[in-house]
Amino acid sequence: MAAESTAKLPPAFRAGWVIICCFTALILVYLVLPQFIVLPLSFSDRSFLSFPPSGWSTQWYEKLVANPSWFQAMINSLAIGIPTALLSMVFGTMAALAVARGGFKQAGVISAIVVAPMMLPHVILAIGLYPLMLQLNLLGSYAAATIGHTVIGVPLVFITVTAALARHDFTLELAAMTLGARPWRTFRSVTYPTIRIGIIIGGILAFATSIDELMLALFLTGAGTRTLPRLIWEQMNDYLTPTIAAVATLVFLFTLILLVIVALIQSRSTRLEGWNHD
Amino acid sequence: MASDKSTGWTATAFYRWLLVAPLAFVGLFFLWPILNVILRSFTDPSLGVANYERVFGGGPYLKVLWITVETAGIVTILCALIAYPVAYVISRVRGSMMSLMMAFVVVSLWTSVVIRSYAWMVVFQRKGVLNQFLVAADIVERPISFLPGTLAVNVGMVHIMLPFMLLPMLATMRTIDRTLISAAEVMGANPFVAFRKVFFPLSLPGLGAGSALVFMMSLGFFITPALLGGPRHMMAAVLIEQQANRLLDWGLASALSTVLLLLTTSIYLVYLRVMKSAGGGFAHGR
Repeated sequence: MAAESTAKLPPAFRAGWVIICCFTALILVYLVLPQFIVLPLSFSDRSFLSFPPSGWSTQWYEKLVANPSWFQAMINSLAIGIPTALLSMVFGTMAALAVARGGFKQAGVISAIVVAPMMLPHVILAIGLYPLMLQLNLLGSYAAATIGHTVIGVPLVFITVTAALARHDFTLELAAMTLGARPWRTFRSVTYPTIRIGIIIGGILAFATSIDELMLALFLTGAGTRTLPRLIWEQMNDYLTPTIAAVATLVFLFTLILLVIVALIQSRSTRLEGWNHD
Repeated sequence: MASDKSTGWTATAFYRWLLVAPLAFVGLFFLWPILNVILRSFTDPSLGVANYERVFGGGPYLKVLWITVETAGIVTILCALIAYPVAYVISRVRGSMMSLMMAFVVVSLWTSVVIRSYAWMVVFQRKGVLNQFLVAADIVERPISFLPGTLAVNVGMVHIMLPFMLLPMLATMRTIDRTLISAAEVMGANPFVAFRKVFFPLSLPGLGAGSALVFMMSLGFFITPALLGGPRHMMAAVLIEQQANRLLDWGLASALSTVLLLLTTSIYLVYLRVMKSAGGGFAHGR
């Protein structure tokens, strides 16, 4: 399916179009190249990173299962990622509702402050949170990493919920309140159904960010609470074995499943409330 | 929101109160820690600007800051040059082809950054994919050592930043009214002129937002330079982590962080302005 108007163009321009299409194809392949290197590598029969592998085996997956620290790291990642997603959903939604419906004069400033943690280098937040967590005696606990990840998760929910709120009219809520509904009931039966998808997608994004985050994990987790990215990181600095490729492949599969869930939610929501979108 | 006033203050007040909890959280665990980093840069180990004298007094720290800004600049320019034609093509195709192209972008965006950097290590190492290819094709006699090195850092960082350039560009290009270009062509402009005079100026907000976003994120980038860059291509975030986590020089780490914070915040303010003029808000996904 080429563009609508290329057919009637002179040959020189059609050639130009073909060239940038080829360039685009190359770049898109470059974007997913790492996955195509990691996947075959994880089935290699050698102990060093030769690519393409000369023979195939599942020994790296067996090594992975045999080493309990990988399983522990996965549990730690979930024990930090799930509360992070839930907390981000609560705070992000509250902030988005307040900014969109509170009629603040400084709404732009508030948004900028709420979104800032996502934009600023995580290393600054990490060295700021480290002494604070030390004071609170939380360093190395699940709570410390959860709080750190929630700081960068809130903006994601804030953005998706703000986008959902912008698509819906405030008059529906005003009508409910004019008819005598209390604020909480208005929220539950009018506002919430319209932003539910935004909250869920924001939560999944916050979860995915937490699962992938390294810097805060390096500073805030301890030996017993280190996350999967941190363990991969430590292993990578020591020696490069295909075990990491096996972990990477499993993490990639997990991410793909999350992505499919998001795509399904999005397509279902556009189908259900398609008339609301412009 | 003029309509708020007519219905009384209850609805608006209810929503205003919702801000208390998230603002308290952000204040306690974001603004307060960052304020302390700035304070610490002037007080640790003693009151004064000694840490900044060390950073700016020439020598290795200033060089790291320069490499950071230089790398972020190169990555931003490379991303802009590569992403523009790609975004142009994606914005012109329709239907399942567009979904397929977007799938490549989204899958890349969602793949763990640690894992992507690991894959680039496999590509660039001495017995890696690239060296095998170069030797087999007789381009070089012996494997080149790319790691640690500038080329590997740039390829790895462009790979991670490209989606952040593509998405704002696409968001802007999709809103450009095609009939304007048709109009220019009907009036006698050839497609190149129509592109240069009509399409390109209209696509600039996307280019601006994407560039600011990529530059900002590149300034604080840690994983790729730490793995692929080594000591000769050290970037600010790597140095800060090293000073704080391993050498325990928190004063210097705080001063470096404050400089990085100032740089990033100024770009963030530019980004907010560009986004405001583009009217796009923040809705660009991750």
